[in-house]
Amino acid sequence: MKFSRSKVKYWMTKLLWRHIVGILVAAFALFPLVWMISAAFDVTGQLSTQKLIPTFSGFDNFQSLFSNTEKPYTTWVRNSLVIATAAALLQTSIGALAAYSLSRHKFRGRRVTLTTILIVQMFPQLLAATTLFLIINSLGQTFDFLGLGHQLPLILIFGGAALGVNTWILKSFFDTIPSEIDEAAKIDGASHALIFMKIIVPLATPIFVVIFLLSFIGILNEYLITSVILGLDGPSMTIAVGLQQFIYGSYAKNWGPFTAGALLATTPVLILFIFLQKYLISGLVSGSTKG
Amino acid sequence: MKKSRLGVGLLSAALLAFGSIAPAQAAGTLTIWVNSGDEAAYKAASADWAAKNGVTLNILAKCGLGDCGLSKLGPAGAGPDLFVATHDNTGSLVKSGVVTSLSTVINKAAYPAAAVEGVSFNFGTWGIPISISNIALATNLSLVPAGAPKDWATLESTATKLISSGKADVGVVTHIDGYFMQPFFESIGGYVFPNKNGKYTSVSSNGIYSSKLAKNANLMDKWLAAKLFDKANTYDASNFTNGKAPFAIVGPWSIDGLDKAGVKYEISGVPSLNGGYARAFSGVSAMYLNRFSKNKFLAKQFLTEVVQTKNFSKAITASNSSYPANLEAATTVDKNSVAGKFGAYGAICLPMPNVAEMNSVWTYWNGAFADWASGKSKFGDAMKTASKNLNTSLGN
Amino acid sequence: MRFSLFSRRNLLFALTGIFSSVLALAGFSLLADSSWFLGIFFIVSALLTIRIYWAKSNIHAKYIFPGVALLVLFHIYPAIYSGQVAFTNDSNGHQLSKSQAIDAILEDSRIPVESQSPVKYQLATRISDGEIFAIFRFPGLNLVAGNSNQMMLIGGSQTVINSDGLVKSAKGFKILQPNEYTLHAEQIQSLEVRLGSSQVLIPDDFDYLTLYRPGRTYSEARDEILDIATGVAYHPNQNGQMANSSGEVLYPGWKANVGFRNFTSIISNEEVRRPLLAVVAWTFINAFLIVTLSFLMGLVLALIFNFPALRSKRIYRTIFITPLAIPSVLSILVWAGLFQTSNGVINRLFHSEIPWLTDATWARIAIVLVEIWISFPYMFLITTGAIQAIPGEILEAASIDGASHYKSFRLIKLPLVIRTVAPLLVASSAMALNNFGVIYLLTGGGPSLANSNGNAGATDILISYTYKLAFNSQEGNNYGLASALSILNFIMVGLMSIYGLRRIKTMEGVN
Repeated sequence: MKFSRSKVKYWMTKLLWRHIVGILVAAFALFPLVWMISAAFDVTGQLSTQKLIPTFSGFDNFQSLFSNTEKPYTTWVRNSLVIATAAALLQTSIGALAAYSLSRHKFRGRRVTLTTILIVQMFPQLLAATTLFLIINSLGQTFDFLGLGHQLPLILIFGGAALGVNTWILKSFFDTIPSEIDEAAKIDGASHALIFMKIIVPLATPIFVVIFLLSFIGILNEYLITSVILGLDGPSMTIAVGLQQFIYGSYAKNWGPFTAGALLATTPVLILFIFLQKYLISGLVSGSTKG
Repeated sequence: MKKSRLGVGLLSAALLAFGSIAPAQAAGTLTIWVNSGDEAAYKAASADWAAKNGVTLNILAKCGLGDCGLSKLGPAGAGPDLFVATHDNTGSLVKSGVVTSLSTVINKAAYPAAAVEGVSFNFGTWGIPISISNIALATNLSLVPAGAPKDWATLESTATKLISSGKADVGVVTHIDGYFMQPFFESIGGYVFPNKNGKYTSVSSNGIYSSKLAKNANLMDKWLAAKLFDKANTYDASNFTNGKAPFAIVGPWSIDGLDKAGVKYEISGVPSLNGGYARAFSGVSAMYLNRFSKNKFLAKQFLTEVVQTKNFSKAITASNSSYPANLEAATTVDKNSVAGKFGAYGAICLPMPNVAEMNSVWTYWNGAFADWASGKSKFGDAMKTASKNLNTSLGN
Repeated sequence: MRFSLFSRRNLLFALTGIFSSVLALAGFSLLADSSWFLGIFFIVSALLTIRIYWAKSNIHAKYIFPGVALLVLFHIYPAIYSGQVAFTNDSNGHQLSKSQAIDAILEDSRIPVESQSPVKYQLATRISDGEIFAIFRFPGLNLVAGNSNQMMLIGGSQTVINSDGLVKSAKGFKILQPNEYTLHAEQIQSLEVRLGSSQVLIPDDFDYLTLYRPGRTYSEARDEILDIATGVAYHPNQNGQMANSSGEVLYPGWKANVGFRNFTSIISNEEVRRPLLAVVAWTFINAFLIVTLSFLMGLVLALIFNFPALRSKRIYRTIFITPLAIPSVLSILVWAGLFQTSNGVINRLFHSEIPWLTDATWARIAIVLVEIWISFPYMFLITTGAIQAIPGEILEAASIDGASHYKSFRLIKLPLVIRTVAPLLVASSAMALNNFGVIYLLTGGGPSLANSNGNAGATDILISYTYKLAFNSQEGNNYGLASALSILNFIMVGLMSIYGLRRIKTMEGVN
């Protein structure tokens, strides 16, 4: 770097345009969020005719969101949290177990297994929704807690999606952990379970965070199978299913409570993302960069 | 080693065998699917009966996935005992064999003939009407102080004057599809299937491109060009509430929004080009009995002792601002109220055809309206194609 | 080894033992409820649990088994189950099994015998075998107990009649009280008493039997339904319906196997084929646009903001990934609101009147815009990671060699980045090909395509078109065709992914 040039010029040529691009992209990235905030505080419940600073603002939307007994928002939040946390944990642990084996154990059909789990997830679950409904229904005939309207079967269904892209990412990460470490441990007499728990898991924490986060947000987003399994009964819905009810149908869109609820749901996830950003960047690709 | 392993396993198995889980079979339970949002009203209106008879009512909101898997669940013995659907599904439900005849259950005298006709198909009556709903014309009273137009000429001239003077952006806020445009469609001579006083006589010919409509089709093109209808076809209700449109086609579900927006309006029928009112489609919300229900008698008892009563019809319709199907309940509705005006127009409306063929009609008919609104084709051409395609698809 | 009851190994045996016992018991309960697949699945899982966790070999199976079990139950089985529908005519009017359909046809054709008023009846179980009987008295006749199998006289001294004419007790029978009816509701409602003259007495409720005469009869031997009044015979046709010689059919029909008809109709049926071509084309164009555009955007941003002197880069990065953190179900719906044509935020911002969601081209642009908004942050993250992971020595070496910025990017950075993210790009492409959410929530596939009969829309991709065919009642619930299309979709996406993965492997081989 040549220090003879003035700082100003350096700023003009190297940084200014970066800031301009940054601000433009930031505007694009934040665009719906800004309008979501604006509509959330607009008491008229509009979105299409929304002004950036609403003419009539207040907390009416939040009040109506929390006072609606037909559409109990707090219950939806709880449902979403329980389901997404449990299912994301299940997905991460099942995926980690499988990935560990795929990374460390040389067994026949390993390659095929890897490809298969990726391909199988590509079968559209849309049509299977009815079949899942029937399966859960007949499970419920015998075991009430595994039936329709219960969260456990839904969590297990999401657990079934654990073997997929996430397993790939996990496996690539495990591949980067030098196998000399576990070879050494094995010579010391450590069992495969011990190696996994004491060596791999601590080293792979960042990737677990990433996978958990991606699974968590993915499950938070799911509404088709969720609505089919849990039903559209007020207290059994999740945020993704429930909030849509406010703007259901083309006739009576009530944007106010919808955006207020969406804003409340988004904020904690957003904060989580900001704090775990570092892991996201390193975790997602570190796997493939061992060379 | 091996022995101990087996021992521990067997021990745990034995421990569990004690606590074997037995399935609970509830006696006297009815599962009922209703439209999402109506659950509370149904629960409230049937709570007394359930308590008195010791019946557990499992009232659930229908899921949004097509028929919610009814056609799969029913035959598999897993569907609800009773469910609510609009009457135009009757033909399709009967043809699929998933509902049971209620001919011996319904008290036909308690309902308007058209409503009973709506839930009847193939010599049977298959549903118990609960509410009747139809669209109607809303007039913005601050833009049109004279009130709802009595004839088509008034409607047209009011709208065009307001548009040309820049006071309004569009004449009638409406979805441009078959259901919302039906009154205008009838006004210029179109019809879906031939009918006589609301009773359909045949499905082997359609009037989507009737000779009268062919003659009048250019009127629709003219109206669209004059912004009587909005080409964008996005049903922008704010145009009406903000005083940028004198008229809107609304349903009972719109009323909440209009009242909240604080707009002054009047509900009326849609005036016809031929004088009087043109007929919109009326839809009957009715309760059906699953053919594969395991509690048919209890369900029938519920239909007779609860669903067919005046109070039930009144309670449900009051909560979702529709018009009661039960005649006795209807007499209690104030004629000058919004619901009363919807009902008055509804009384002369045309029951939506309930034949299975309607599935194809919507496909082609709505497609034609969309093509027309987007400027892809002239109204006449769009309807001509739709009529032809419909005939081909129905094998006429 | 010293024997210890509470060793870690024994703990594992105990836990897996308990777990598999639970599974096995659950399996038997399910079998008892005649859920055959689920029952067998649970029992096999129980056996496999023991087999895998009690054995010392096949360590990998211990780790993969839980995931595979759930995968089979909730993915593979539903996929196969809904996949086999592709070989049936499952659609409106063809939802029942053949015997259910024939029962329904017969039931619906029954005609009440008006001359006979309903007969009061009571319910009883036969003590010897628990069978349900209706006890009633035809006017002027003796007391009878009957069901679909038999009818017998039960009058006589051993029957006690109440003053209201109802039976109090009868020998060999237990008279049921009304509060016991619901326990037998299902048997009671299927009760029917056949009389000699082919007429049947059927309960209409828990109190009265109504006399019916059949309108149609079914002969199992000839597989034929005969209309009694007209004498017309109906036989099964190719399409799972009872039809007479002039082709008139009876409803309901049943779900029949039609072989490859759904698949061949994709080629031979003009109405299916025409919109499908447009839909498939858009499926690929759409996926290609999302993946390339968002990847390019992510890559360019990563290059621009991976600049040490830019102190605010962390803030930018944080802002750029916000779309990832907003649940997309919610953000897509907000986008849909913003895209409104008249008075919509976007149109007001640009003083335009663009029919965003109602014009084919603009709707496609809107879809791609929103999809890029959703996926560029991910691409930004992975490319940033990939660039940061390039060993510093390589770049240094390049700059010493005097390579220009552009050259070091094109020859060193780009290949390394692409190699790193390639597997993720393959996965992203597969997801983009199946990207139902944005289409469904933003445009619903619309606006409808000209000449597509309203079935397909300009922004429909194969999966959303399939959804409409299967679930949107306006299109008539054609599960059979929808299933056939989803199989084709699966094969298409699967083959492309395998091809993509192969390419990566050969690429790695070259390097």
